[in-house]
Amino acid sequence: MQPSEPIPLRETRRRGRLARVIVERPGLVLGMLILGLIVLAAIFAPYLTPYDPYDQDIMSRRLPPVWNGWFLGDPQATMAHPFGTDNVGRDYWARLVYGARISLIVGFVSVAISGFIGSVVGISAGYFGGKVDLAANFLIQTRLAVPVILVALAAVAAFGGSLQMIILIAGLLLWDRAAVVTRTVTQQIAKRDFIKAAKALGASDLRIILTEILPNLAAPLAVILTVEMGQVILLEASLSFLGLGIPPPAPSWGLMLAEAKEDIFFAPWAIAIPGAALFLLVLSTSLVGDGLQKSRER
Amino acid sequence: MSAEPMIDVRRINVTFSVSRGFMAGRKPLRAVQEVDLVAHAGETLAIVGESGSGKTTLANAILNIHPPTSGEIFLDGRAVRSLGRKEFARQVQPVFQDPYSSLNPRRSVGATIMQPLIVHGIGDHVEREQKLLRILDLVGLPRRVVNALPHQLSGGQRQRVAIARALIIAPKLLVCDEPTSALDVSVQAQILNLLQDLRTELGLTYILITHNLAVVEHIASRVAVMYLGRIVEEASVEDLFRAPKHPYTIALLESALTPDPTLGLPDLGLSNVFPNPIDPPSGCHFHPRCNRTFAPCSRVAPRSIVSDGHRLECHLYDPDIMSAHNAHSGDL
Ligand SMILES: Nc1ncnc2c1ncn2[C@@H]1O[C@H](COP(=O)(O)OP(=O)(O)O)[C@@H](O)[C@H]1O
Ligand SMILES: [Mg+2]
Repeated sequence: MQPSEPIPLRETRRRGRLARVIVERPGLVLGMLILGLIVLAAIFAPYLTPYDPYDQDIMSRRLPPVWNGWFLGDPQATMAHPFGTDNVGRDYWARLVYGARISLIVGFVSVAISGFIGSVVGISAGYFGGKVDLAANFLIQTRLAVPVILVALAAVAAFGGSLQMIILIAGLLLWDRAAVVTRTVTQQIAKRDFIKAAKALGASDLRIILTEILPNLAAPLAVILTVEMGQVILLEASLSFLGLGIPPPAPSWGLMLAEAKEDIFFAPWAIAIPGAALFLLVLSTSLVGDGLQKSRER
Repeated sequence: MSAEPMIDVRRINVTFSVSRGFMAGRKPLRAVQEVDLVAHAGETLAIVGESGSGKTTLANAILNIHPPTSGEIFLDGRAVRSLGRKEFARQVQPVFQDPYSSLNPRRSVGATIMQPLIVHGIGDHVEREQKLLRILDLVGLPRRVVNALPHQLSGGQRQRVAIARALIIAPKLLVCDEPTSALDVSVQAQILNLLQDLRTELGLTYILITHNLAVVEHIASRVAVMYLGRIVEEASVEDLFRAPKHPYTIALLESALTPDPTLGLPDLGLSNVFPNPIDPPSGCHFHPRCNRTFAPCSRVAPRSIVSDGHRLECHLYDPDIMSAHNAHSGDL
């Protein structure tokens, strides 16, 4: 027997796909671009700056960013510290790129945890229905009744704030949307005849869930998890800003905002820079989530 | 007719518990009632009936997808309940109505057809590919479709994929639930011919669910007519088409002669309200629509009468009921 030749149909459809996506989904492309750049910056942080984000330099505190020199003629601005320095003389660009690591780790890891919990709850509810569905709904309702900030407060008060703590809190609490969406989509998929076909083959429920249902959940999950990631990153920044998250001197963007707030009138850039970074990161996740959603609806 | 039937369905019932709306509680819906049915090796047993009469539910029970609430099904004399799910699956496979729904949209044609081999751990990679290519030829699909996704195929091609998936583990019984009614009229004949050819080539046994009586006459050997969960008449094709007895069967056959028999619910020319299966009519379920209804029909459920392999549930053919009735009317 001859080996099967690949079907040409699909290749032709692939061609020119990138160009089409750019035209049809500029938001998605822009979001991926920003997110990609931030991820790259976080990964290659040591190559992007000669400074250590923790090194203090008392001689050069509260230096303005270099563009203050260009546009406002601020004599203190220097190319040596392109984004300026903070109130203890740490290089702001270094803190920003290392800080991206914290935001992204918190974002990715807690979303992985919450995505897993949400999928397990949602898929079992949607697939098995009946009593399992009732139990899952009860779990979801209970979870929705829990105020995230208050729980975070209590947990930090009891165990102290840390990166792990924030990841755990967000991961264990923010799975409700993933559960609701996977439950609905699973219910729709479970009605279709290919599930019946798998049952008629004698496939186990676990196999059906993993090989028939999960691949069909990938797209909707990607949509909510990217949006959720933005929310988690904001949550970390907020908690850190309030002193309930990552403890100093870590370069969390929320902490940078908190440390800069006393100087808001003397060094407004110190607030503006991490604020803008946070804005861009969260914006990129919503753009990506939104773009994926629209591609799915087509 | 060989002694032991391949599939032997004995007095099965399938009852769903359906909620009747907000706060209204649940009621039983008897989708399949006291169904007796046998299919012998090599024959094609057709099940006909209007939409909602319980055909799919019966098929799901036979396929062990949704086992009966009560009663027993035997495969070659062994109770299906006692067989392993996979052991049963190796011998009985389905073809569903809608190939848009029966194929996983994320899985390529090749992977879909080979999936049964993987689930059942049959063969290594090379053997699976060989089987795949052979089955593609068998169902008339070009080899280049193996990497295609279902949405890239036509309806007829998809149904061929579904048939290939069912056949790759070499079952002996195929349960086809309206295998052509979701297809264009032009491809229906192709798929039916394919099923016919496969049956003779592979020595398969079919249970074929359809509401297209022309199809039944063409390819079935026995026919069971279903109405509201019950088999109301069962006979060989020749018998049933030559001498239908049950008023419902007669109406069905007459409606099949109307211009467009392929369109869903046949226009029975009777009262066209199909009763709600949650509240089935008393006595004979068919009596509100029957044009030959008489006194006992609304009171007593007809029993099953068998003569010469022709089985039916109708008071008109029950000598006891008829003599009692005639005696009673004679008194008047
Ligand atoms: N899962 C289910 N839950 C509740 N009722 C059902 C279910 N499946 C089928 N039914 C009911 O059983 C009856 C028979 O349905 P079905 O077997 O699909 O008929 P057919 O295939 O002949 O059109 C219908 O009244 C239908 O509403
Ligand atoms: Mg049906």
